[in-house]
Amino acid sequence: VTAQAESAQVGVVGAGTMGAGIVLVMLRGGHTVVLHDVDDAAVARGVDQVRRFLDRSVAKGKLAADGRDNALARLTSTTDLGDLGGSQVVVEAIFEDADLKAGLFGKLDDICGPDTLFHTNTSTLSVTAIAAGSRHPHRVVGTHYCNPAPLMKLVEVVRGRRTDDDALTATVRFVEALGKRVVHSGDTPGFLVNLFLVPFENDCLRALEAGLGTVESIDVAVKAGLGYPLGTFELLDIVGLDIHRSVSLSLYHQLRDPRFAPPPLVDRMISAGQLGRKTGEGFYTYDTTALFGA
Amino acid sequence: MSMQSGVAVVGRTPTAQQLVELAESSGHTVERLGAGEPAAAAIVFVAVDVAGTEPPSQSNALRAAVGAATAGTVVVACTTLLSPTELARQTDDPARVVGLHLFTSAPGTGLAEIVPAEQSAPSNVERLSDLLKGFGLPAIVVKDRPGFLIQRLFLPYLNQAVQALDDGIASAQDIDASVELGLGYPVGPLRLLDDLGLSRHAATTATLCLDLADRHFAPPPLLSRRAALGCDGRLSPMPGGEAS
Repeated sequence: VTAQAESAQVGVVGAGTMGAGIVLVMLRGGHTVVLHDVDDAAVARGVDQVRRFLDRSVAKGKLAADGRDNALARLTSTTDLGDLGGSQVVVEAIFEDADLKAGLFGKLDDICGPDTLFHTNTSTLSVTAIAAGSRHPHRVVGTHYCNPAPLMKLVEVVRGRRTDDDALTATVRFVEALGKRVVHSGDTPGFLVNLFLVPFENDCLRALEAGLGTVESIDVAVKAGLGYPLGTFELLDIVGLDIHRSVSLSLYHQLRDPRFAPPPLVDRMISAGQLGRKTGEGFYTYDTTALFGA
Repeated sequence: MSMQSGVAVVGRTPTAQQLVELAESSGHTVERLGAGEPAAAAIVFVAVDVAGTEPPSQSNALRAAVGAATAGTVVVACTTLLSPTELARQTDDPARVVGLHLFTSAPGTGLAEIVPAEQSAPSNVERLSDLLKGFGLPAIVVKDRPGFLIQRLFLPYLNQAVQALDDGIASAQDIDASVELGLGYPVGPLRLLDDLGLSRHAATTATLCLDLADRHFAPPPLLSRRAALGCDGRLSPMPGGEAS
């Protein structure tokens, strides 16, 4: 495995928010990027998200105009997985479904060279299970970027049961060269960040249900008492209750620990259309459904 | 309803000292009292316990303060773990007792939890709440349930981090870095526990485990082992030292 820390060709599969964020990280790291999604519209949305982020960076004076142009010149997009063939690293950021992800790596086996590193950006699924879809599971490594990827410094690097030393070492070198801080996590549900965050959020929801506090007082307690940057309910409104529910259930089913189970309040709010910022109403109400920083 | 003003503090514990500083910094003249000394102040704070270090017999100080209080005085029972309802029950005038938990052990700005006892007169809760508005730290009203609010939320997270370390999911440095960089928490759970003191946390969480009958509050075995080492017990590496 010989992934270049500098100027590699990186394939990114999945042009959603995470995929676009990862593209930006790769471009900033000096790499050439081929972005893939299943249809033209999805690909166009992803490229557009990348372009808008770079435009805003220029407008804010954080990036020179030719820096943006140079970055965009290193980005191509495709709906044909075959175009990822020349990549030294392929980062998967598709829908959070183990079978889909495993199936993707099975297809990439026939497309990519024998030294390609396969990175899966999963937050809640088993890297080992995803790697089982590949005939080369020793080259599959978990790399969990935090959202928004261009702004968050942390990457959880996860070794699956069949990941080999070379792939792990090359991955750490590659991710660190992107300017990220790597933490190593075992292939255990939720890795580190979600292992700690998700049950804490559910504990706050249960405290609310039990009347131990209000939305406001619990957020005050978390921010003033613990120094967290956002109140739990402010954060849940940004994440979206539907996403929180599926992440919680996934971890609950894997860990069978009741702290991870989403409390009934989550279901009620979803039924009522109170998903958070994206519907204009969650624990708080919002004038606009636009996500800040988007 | 009362023309009384002023603040008095009973006791010499760190919590008592903190209350004196908070009250003085918000412009109050603070009377320091010994147990059972009569107070002219409108609000008397009694530091009842310090987590895991003092016996509940300290409620004697509360009983004495209530006995010595003049009409209209609110007596505030400052506690981390004891039930204000139970503390108030042991006094001759439970209606004038209101609970308070000052939580300043994590790296936030600090938090005051006002814990009305079942017997507290609502007007007394309000007077404490009004006074605390000047203290410069956010105050919230919570129920008299084990752990009140903040410890109920915080302690399972700390225990979970210790268990993750013991399970070998990640190193102490990486566990702390994951929440500091991934979630923006000011300090990771393991270094925070080292700063708080392992035995203090172990005692608090063991009490709440019994009170709530919830295993997520049970002291993880690694915590108990290291806490038993006293001041040598740590979870995270010494700054600049070897990894644990």
